[in-house]
Amino acid sequence: MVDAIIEFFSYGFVRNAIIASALISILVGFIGTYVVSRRLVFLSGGITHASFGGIGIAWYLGWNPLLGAAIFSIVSAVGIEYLTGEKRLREDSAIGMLWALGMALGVFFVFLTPGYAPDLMSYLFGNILTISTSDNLMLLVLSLVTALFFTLFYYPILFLSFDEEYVKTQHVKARVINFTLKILVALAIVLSIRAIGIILVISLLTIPANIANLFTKRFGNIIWLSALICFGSTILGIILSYRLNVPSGATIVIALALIYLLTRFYFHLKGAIFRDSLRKGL
Amino acid sequence: MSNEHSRIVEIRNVTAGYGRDVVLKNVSLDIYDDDFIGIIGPNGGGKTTFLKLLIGQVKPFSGEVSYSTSGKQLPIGYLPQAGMLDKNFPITVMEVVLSGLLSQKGLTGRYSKAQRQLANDYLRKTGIEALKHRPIGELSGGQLQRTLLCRALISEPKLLILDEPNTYVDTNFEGELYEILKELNQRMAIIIVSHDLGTITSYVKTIACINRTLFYHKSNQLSTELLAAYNCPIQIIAHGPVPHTVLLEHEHHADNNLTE
Repeated sequence: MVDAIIEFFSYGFVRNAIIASALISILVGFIGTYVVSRRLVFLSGGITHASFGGIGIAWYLGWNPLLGAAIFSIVSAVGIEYLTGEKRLREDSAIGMLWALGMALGVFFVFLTPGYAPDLMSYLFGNILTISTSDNLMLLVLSLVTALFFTLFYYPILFLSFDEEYVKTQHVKARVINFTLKILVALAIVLSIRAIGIILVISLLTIPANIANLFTKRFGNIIWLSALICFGSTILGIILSYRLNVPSGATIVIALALIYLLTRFYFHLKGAIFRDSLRKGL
Repeated sequence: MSNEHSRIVEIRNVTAGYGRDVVLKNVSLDIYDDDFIGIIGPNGGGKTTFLKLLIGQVKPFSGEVSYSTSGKQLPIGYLPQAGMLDKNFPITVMEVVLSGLLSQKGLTGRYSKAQRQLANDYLRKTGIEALKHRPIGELSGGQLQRTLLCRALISEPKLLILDEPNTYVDTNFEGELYEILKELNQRMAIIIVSHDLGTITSYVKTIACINRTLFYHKSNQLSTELLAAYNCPIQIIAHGPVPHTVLLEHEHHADNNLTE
């Protein structure tokens, strides 16, 4: 068993997967905390699925699919804000429409493309064991930029997420920060697609931050704790998927969900024991 | 208006709203540095839009809002409706109060010791210093309003705007709040939106009724006839034995801004 694990970690693709896990976890720490506390989960889901349209069109034109996905996700992130900004359209409706349109465009163009069709499953569910060194380089740049941005603008990001209307009374450049945050969310989603897939990206953005939020009620602490939780469960997911020969993405999501349920159960028990000891003490 | 008090905001014939919807029409009002204006009016009449116009979040379709602060931004303290905030948001009392100093601190960097001390002073004055490290989700309605009041005051504003600060709070805090506001009015102009007509009229100096447009009543005494004349569909509720200043018979003042 131990030998098998040592052998497992000696493979190049495994090392790449572990580096990708670490980098994605850094992104998840910052972006997931932001998305969860500002309640942008549905918006993020919309951006993720809209990006599939970009993948399909890029495939049809012979471009790099990630480039297409990046353009589509950024345009939809900014587009949703534009469409709903003047109350021309309900935000959740705008997201729902873009969500479906993106998926439809993706499938449409992939099927229009003559010759070999790409492995749709790998875009929909991802595979962290196929991450390449160039994928990791892009992840490295994005996680550095994200970490730097959140460190520099920690307080405005926190305050904008809590009460945007109030921050706007403070004569600060709230729009620029909001705009940059949307782009970072879109890019973090696109670069995570290879690892975990369009359908499962949302799990990384939501579950680690929600687990961390059970332990701490402070924004800054949720960031690093959710990054750690994400890293731990991705590694666990990689090992399990190798041992059981099952898809890595699905395994990671199930691991995260189990950790969330166990943590909730732990706090539930702890609360019950605490109340019990109070009753006995009285 | 007496000459010793200076005008800080001038609103001239403003029409404003969202998208293509006009919410406010032909609003004119001068705000002086010692004003204490109570804003009343029906729901959907445009009270919140008017406040957003003042803090610059809603831009006028036509007309003008100008601040007499010689090039500098008028420091405004704003206390939004607490019901609009996400109580589950992971933020502490201290952080909320410090957000009132964001423009002083600038976008990057940390808060100085002096700024944290200042926040502490305000928390002590409002009696919630012990709660400073609590997440806001653990606060009562009154404690949250105190936190938001500290945030609005910490930048030493010249104009304090409060949007229904007396909802979600106990009557204890409400009375205390009005006393605090009375004292603050020595240093700054105050505009307060309230549903509670009976209480508001005994503290404010003047009353503005907003219902699609603004009717300014340069006194704190209202009558049913007056409200009818202003087309202000608000009922005057008299509170039992509590002394109040709502008068049933009252001379009609024609000196509101619209008659200009």
